Amino acid sequence: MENLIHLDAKGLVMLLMSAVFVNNYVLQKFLGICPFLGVSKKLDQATGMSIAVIFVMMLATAVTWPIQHYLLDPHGFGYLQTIVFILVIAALVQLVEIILKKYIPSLHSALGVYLPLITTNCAVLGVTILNISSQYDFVSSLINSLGSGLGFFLAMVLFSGVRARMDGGDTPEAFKGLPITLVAASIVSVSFFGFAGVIERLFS
Amino acid sequence: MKKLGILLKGIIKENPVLVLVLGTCPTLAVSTQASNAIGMGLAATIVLICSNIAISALRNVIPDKVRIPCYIVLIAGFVTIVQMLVRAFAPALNESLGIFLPLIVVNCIILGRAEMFANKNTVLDSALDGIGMGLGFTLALFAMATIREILGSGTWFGMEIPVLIDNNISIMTLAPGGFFVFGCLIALVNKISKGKAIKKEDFGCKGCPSAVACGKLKGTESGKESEA
Amino acid sequence: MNSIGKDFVKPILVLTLICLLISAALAFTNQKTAPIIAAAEKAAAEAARQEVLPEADSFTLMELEGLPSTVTEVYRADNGAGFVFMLTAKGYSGDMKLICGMDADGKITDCNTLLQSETKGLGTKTTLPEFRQQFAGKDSSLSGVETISGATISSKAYLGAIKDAFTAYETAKGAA
Repeated sequence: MENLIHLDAKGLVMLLMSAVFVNNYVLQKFLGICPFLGVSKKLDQATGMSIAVIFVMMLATAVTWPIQHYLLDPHGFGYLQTIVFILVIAALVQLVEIILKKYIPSLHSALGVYLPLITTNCAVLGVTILNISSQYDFVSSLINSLGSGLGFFLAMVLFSGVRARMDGGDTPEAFKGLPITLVAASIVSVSFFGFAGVIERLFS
Repeated sequence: MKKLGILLKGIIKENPVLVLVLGTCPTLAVSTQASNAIGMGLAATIVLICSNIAISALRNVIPDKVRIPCYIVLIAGFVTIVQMLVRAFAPALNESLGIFLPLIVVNCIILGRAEMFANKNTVLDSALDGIGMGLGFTLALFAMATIREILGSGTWFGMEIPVLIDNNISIMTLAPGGFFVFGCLIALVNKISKGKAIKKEDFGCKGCPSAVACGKLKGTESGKESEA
Repeated sequence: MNSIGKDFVKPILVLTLICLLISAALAFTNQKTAPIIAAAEKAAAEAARQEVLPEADSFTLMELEGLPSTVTEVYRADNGAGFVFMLTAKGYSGDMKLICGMDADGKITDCNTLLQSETKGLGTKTTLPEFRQQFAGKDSSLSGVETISGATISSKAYLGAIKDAFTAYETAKGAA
């Protein structure tokens, strides 16, 4: 339990902002590329997927953080981290789907299709493991997950806008489909370098 | 001959990265240096071979209902073993791969091969498939990393290349360079195969455990893969 | 009864068995590799300390109160050659882990970057020998040390951490 990083209010705001803009999970850390490329074609789908990801990321962190610090570490089972986390995430996703289906059917019909995709979304497993290895305390971990999820949301929404514009373009034959999407992602990713400077100056 | 075919198809014809477009996250993230690419490729290959063999051997034991959790447990187990071995015997590689070493668990190539191949083929065929797919993954990573390291850092396997070392395009090693080089490589594969190579709907997606949900999504849109 | 066995008991049984088997395999591998991992990490840390303070023979971790938050650990050379400070500075993108050695008179012997995730080609210039070498022989005034243009945030964070090491040096000297 020792050596955990505790952040004050300013630190938490900075952590949140840099998780969204500077260390964007999709565009700088390459986590969650599959849904980023697959589900970003329409704005409503991009939004639905992102909200589901934010929700599962927060929930997964709230569950895996105590498991690691109160269950695995004290008993020397740290090496079971990967296997326990992925099972917890898979079970959580199933659980959320069942609960939504039974009690909030309207939300289930909006988000339900995105939930199974999230189990194998490396951004979710990635954020839970990174929270542990960065030694954040519980609150900082939750904030980091929220920021990462919001960063995913921002990237998805921005990119769906870019893709909507691309449809009308005259793309060379070989670049049609995925290749031109990747090139566009590259340019969106460049634009995030601009954000990085802004955040840094805001707090220095 | 058939056995050789199973081995070779993963390397070129059904290359998991460039043709099936699976495992994009690690491909983009660790392809900044050729040595990292080889390390990541080999780690994933070992996991893939082991999981293919285990799943194929247990294909008649595992009930259909719980097959995905079973596969995930098996794969996560092999990943953790590989992770421990890397930390013990190649700590430098562990540092440079970082989070992407445990994330092999959610690499869709591995779960994809379990679903598509290993659970309906013999142990030997599955092992060969694992070797072929693993090498295909390694090769694609290596090609990406070679381009990015030479242009971005002016080095190759850490060896300095004259002229280029002083004129490096450092954005190539950053995130935008990753997306750009990957896009160009897939376009190249498209060009060579005259657009026939990328038929993700035909095989890639079926192997993904989320294919059902993907299918639901496609119902509401024209489907991006069909235009590719 | 038979169909219940087939539909519920068998899947649960198989899944549990696989979980147990894999856990056993992991425990076994962990038992074999944990000592090697610990030894490798210890050797790497010892080598890093030796590199920045070559005159020391071996090191002891000091228990100190009131260190600046950037200073995570302080080691004392057992032969009195000086101190080694482990530093964590907030860089441009994430933490930079630095190590700094000082001789008994409070002059820097050498410093080094252990871990960083700065922007390649800009912030990573703090790891280059030109930047690193300007610290050798400096006292707490750090006169003549220059930040790198284009990597201001990274090099300022570096300098700030080194300055904190001097504060920690006073504390460590008082305790030694």
